Amino acid sequence: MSSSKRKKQALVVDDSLTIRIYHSSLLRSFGFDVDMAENGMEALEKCLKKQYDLILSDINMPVMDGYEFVKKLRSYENYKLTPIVFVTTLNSETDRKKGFLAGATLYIVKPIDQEVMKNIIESIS
Amino acid sequence: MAKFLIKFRLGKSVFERAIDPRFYIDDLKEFGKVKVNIIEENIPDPEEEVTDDHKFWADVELETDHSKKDIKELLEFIIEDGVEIEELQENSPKKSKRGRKSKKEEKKELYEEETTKEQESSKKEIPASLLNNYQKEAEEIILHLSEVVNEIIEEGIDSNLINELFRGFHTLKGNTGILLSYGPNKILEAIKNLAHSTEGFLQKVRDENQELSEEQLDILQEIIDRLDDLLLTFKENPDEDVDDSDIEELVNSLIKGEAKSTSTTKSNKLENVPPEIEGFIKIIDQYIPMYNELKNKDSFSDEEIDFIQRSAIAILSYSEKLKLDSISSKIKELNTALLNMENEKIKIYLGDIANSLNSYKNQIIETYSPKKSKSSDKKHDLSRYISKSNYLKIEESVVKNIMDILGEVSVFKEWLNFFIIKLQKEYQNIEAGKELKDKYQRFKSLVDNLQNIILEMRMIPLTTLFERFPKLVRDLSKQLNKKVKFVVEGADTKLDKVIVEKIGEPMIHLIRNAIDHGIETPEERIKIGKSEEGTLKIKSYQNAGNVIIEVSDDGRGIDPEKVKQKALEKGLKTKEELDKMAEEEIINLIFLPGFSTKDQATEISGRGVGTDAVLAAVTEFGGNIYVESQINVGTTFRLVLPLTLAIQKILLTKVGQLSIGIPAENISEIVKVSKNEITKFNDLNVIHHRDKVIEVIYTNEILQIKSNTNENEDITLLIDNYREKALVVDKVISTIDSVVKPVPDAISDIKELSGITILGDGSIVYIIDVL
Repeated sequence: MSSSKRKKQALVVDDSLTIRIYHSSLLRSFGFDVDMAENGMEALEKCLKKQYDLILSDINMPVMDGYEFVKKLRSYENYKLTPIVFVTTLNSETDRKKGFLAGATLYIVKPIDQEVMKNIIESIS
Repeated sequence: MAKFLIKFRLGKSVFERAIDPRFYIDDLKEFGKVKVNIIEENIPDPEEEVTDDHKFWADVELETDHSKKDIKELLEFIIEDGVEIEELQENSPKKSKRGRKSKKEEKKELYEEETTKEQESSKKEIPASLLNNYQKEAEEIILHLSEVVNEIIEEGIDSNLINELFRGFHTLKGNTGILLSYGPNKILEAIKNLAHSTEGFLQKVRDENQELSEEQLDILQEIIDRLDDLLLTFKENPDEDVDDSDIEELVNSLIKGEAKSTSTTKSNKLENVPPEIEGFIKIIDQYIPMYNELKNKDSFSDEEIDFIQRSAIAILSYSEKLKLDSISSKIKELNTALLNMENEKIKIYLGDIANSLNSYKNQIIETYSPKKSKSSDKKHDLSRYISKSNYLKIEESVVKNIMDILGEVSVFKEWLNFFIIKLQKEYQNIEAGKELKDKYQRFKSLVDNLQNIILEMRMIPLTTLFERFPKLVRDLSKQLNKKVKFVVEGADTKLDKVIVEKIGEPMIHLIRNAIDHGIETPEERIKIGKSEEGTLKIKSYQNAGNVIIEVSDDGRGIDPEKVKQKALEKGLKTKEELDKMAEEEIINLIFLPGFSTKDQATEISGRGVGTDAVLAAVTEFGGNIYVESQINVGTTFRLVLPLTLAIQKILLTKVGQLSIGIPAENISEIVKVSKNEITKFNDLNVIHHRDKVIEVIYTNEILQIKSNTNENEDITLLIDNYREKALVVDKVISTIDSVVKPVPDAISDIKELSGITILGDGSIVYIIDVL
């Protein structure tokens, strides 16, 4: 493709279908191409096949949770600086710390207003 | 106890200011025992021109615990028009103390005494009943004030309304003063001062026939909101050290009639922060505690350094966007320190940045402080009817978070159940399945318990809503010249807090309707042989998974013929359609959008929402409303509400290939019937069941899919005896507890879908709500 403006790619990782649908429609409305993954393992596989510009991930997931996924992903050179956002209901200090040290760029506690979310996404991507 | 003689010698000057002095005598009654001896009473009617003949002369003997100062304060606005207060000598043993007081009372400046008085009154416990009454009445006053302000906003200023306001603030001030006599309290002081100053302002407005500007009305509303907040704080934590610094400013801006500087006039709930700022706050909220922790570390791990780097980039992009230059430059310095791996510097910058971010955040919170702002819409006001009693001391968002997590736990629980079956059937591991099943039972009962506790947390009794109605009924019946007996039954029925809050408005509308349109005037009632006094009854009770609230009156009832006509006129239904309808169905047409039986909506009912809006409000959270009515016997509106919004019992069924969930509380019976029991009646499929005719709905037809039931097989019916409807499904699988989530946008145009839920095995269940 010769188009100079490649659409930004995003990955939504969440075990809940509803949330996957919700987040991806949100990101699409901001102009992203969105892929989805059900858990950290699936997400990791997808990330290695394609370079994403933004990742929105849940923390509590079966198979591989968000912490482990992000930690593993950050070990790849091409994902060192990619904005990774944890969107979660976990709101304790330990969770946050674990999240950041695993490599999250942002840690967002739900619920969050759509407009605000949009703004945050715009600011970091 | 002291005894006072208060001589009212009031004339023209008072009446010119439209003060009704009798009102002050009522106030005095709140102080203690009152003996009134009227010497001459000639009070002008509101419209009448005031002349020299108008006067109010009376001697009032008052036996009270209050001091002369209190009385003076109460009568402050008419004292100079001719009121004398004498202390009578025959009295109690505490003479010396009073003697000391009365000397002080000679002083002219009433307020200088405040402190002395506070020191004197040893802090007595306020009697619970007094406290209760105070709170109830204060809430009512505030509510009323807010209504009046709205009325002024909508209909313009008028001296009666200003008087109403004046009176409200006045009474609030007086009542608060009574509580203060039991000992100092900062919140009460604030309430009293605010009420006092506003009262003074209103008096001036009234006396000088001033107009109120839009800003002033806004500020009035703001003051009322502030009073409301203070009152709530007092209720929850009477000894809280409130910040009353804004009070003076509020009153000043009221007097100046100018919008107060940025902080309060703009709508300022924290939700109204511009999204980019809110986003930044949301982000730094998470960063600040991390920075504060890291700044105390001796050395940093690789992960920590990575985190600092990433966070610095995020903060920088925001701070540049928001033009927070000092933060930007600090971040840049931090970056340099990171590159050079200067740990000491990094620590300093981290602390520094955390501080700057923190103060920025505080500044934002301050600017967009969550003081409730003005709002002239009804919703805002009505919320006062509703959300008063917060039994929940924790923030609701916390409960919501717990619910969300619990929802996921529930899903996991369901998954486990699926898995056990899979383990035994598919993997043939019977033993493991059995063992797991034992554990599963334990787990299930724990989760169920937890669920019940949290549901219970969200439940509040309807009393919190109903207790506000007697006054509403009183006011309305007075305004409409109706005699209404108000009866409440079952106010202790509990319901999800969110629902209790939401049904306030529809309920108020129904009450208005009943008094305005339903109940006849006393004359009419006597003429048709009814008792002079009409009855308005609110009854609530629990029925399976629903709470029913009935609002019924014994008034004129709804005339189906008139409804028919109206429906025809408005083109809502055709003649043919109407002819086929039963009387009951016709009456329920009043819920159609754009319907209103009275040609001229009266002042009372016309202003609220229409009956269709009531329906809309109730169905919004899965409730429903029905009306039953008989001419000249009365009308009953029946609201059917879900017990809780959080977790629903869903009956899992199969229709064709799809898993369909149906809210279990709607279903009273599941039966199998043979196909030929279903007959046609007009265009409807019906079945006779337990002496009732029940409408049969084929679920597969609604969803336009194929059914799996064979021609000659019996069919499964889910019957809702209450609504006399039944759904046909192929197969009933089980009942599950689930958190119903909203329908995703992509399929939101299928209107029968009310939500989706996800099963333990990851499959989606479509919830339909057509019963």
